[in-house]
Amino acid sequence: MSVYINGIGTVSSQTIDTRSLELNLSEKQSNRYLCIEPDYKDLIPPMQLRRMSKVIRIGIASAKQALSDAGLETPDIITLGTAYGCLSDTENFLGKILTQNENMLTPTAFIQSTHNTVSGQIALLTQCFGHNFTYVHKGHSFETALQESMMWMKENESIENFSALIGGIDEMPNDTFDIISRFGTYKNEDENFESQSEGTIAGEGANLFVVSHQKNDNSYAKCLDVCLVNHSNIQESLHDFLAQNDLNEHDIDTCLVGINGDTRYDELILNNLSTLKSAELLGFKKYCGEYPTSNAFAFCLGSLILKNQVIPDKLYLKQSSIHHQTPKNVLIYNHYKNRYHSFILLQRI
Amino acid sequence: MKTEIINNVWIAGLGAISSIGLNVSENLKSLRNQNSGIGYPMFLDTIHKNDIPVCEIKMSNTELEELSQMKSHLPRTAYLSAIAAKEAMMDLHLNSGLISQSTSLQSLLSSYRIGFISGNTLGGMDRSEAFYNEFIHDRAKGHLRDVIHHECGSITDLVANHLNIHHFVTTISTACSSSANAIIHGSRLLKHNKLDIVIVGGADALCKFTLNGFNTLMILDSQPSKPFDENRKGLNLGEGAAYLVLISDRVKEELKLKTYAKVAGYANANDAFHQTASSAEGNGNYKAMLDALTMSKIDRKHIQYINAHGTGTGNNDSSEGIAIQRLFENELPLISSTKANTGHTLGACGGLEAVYSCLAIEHNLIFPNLRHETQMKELDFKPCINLITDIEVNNVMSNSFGFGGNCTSLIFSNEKN
Repeated sequence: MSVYINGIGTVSSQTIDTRSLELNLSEKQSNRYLCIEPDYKDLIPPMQLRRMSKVIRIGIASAKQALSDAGLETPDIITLGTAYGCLSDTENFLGKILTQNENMLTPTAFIQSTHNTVSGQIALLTQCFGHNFTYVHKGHSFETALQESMMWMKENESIENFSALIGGIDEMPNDTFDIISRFGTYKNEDENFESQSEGTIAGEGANLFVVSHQKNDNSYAKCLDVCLVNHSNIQESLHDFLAQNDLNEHDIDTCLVGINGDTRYDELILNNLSTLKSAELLGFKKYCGEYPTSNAFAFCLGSLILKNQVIPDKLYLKQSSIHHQTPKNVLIYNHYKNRYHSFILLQRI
Repeated sequence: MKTEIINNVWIAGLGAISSIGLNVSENLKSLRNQNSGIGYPMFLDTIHKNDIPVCEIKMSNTELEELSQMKSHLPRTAYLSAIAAKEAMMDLHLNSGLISQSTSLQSLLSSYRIGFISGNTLGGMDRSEAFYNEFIHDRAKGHLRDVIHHECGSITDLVANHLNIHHFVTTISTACSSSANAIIHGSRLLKHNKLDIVIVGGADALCKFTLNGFNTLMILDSQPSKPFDENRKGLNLGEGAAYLVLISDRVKEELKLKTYAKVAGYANANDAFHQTASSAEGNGNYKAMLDALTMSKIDRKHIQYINAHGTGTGNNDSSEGIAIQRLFENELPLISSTKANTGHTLGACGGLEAVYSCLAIEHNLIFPNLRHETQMKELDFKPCINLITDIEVNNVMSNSFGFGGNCTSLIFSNEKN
């Protein structure tokens, strides 16, 4: 059952105005993209803001943006994905346990370290008493939340304007960045996304959406389906997924692909899409960095592209290709470290 | 028009490990004998080892590693999870009428879409603590093998690989309702025909992080906890893992499976009151129980037993008790909290108590609420304090409530309904 994307809230390393036709994307010279945080003045009371770690701030800001964009005060359900949860509060409390040898500890960081802090806080702020889930399954966290919301829509077709607030949130605080760097995940400090080297660029972000089985005046696009790939043959999985949605490879005119600048994976990932003969390939991680819920950023871009019918030149992987002026079927293909492959199908309304 | 609800969700396998038993039958025996796992920790390395009692599984990581047949240096939670999930799978095998015709569980299940959905709240935090101890002094130090499984999802992946389950794997982390919510998600996936068989539940091991965290909140009892007692002082932390194998009607028929019960109702609601405290009236608790009951279509007077969340904290037991009273009015079922036996096992408790609920139905038992002395002033009821054996238990409600206002209620029902 397809769902309509009726509201978007996005905090990322880009400044994206969802109301503007123009998508301003800027390149960064860094191996770590941090979020450009919004002005919280109208979003979160200053007293509350002071206690909030970054992932909570950006999560709540995105939620408020998405709800206001959809003209909704309270969603019926909330279902989020976060691979890491509230890392800075976790790092903070863990550090104090060890440096203070379990003495003189205060509860704030512990309270906020729980993985469902953001979804719980959104429920509190919007007085949403409905179903409230947080998926924490690595590179499939956002996709699981999206999949769940689609099942809810099917169950609640008869309820007018039944809406879910869904999204993907993750932060990349210092300790985590340093630790993950030691696994050789990221490029060197003096490199950027374009550097032909092993490793990717670290990212973070909060991209939330209001989805419903009904469209409204603000609707961006329709999400037809999501596939959490469980098969080693990616091309076969893609073919089956498209067939289940009465489509084939030639119907896909645009594909947002999760290549991440890591020479170990990019070619492999692009090869998996070699059957998409009619599709323009667009890269999104150059603008949001790599993190397990980065697909929510692609979901935001895909929705904007379909609504505005404009593809920013900067997204094209091949500048020479024939640019489609009327994107209709957008496929999002993502992975995390060549695992957690997923497909999402978006369609123009 | 609702297009889902294509079939029933049956429970055809159980697995559990806790401080009162290393498998389901040991847990049942301890519940019957009114044993508790409470005591000072032997394996948890903390400065509080002589002042905060916990419900610890009396096995070292090395012993758990052997029991689980997994590799070494993994988080304790992964070992617990694998042991209980494996038991649930083996139990499914034993419950199949085709066992004699089939050579292995693997071949029996080869044509089905199988999923694994697990809840946990701390991932590999015990190993992360060891890593951080070195890392905070020198950022180049600390064994990477200790931090590689930090994420909650890693634990699920480790166990899914161990069980050779790849069709669908996910992790839910909603604090103390995590594994109850895994049961909801698994049930929903079966109803939407996205899976045929799904192993659902959760796991959490004791670690410094939670012990100190709950200690800063001043909700840990320095004595064995007394859920639903007027003089309760707080909760005891515990550790464990528990899983249920959920199957569709088709699988039940094809594998000639004996089942324990069906998942008759479920609901998750949010209290939307406070990050760590429940509203005085238990609004989220009430909504979760009401919605689960509505879905089950079971009359409230036919619920024989509520396995309560009953942590033993002032706040939880009051809110939960009031919400139960509001919903059941003068038709209160028997109520007890088995957390007096097992401690509060956080991400595992919903799964563990779901297993206990199935055992209550299977053996027609009501488990007593240990150490209860004085009825709470704000409640009209006291929990069931004796083991009840001369009763027919058909329908059981199991509650799990957590931080972030997360409230879950599940209803298990036997076939006769």
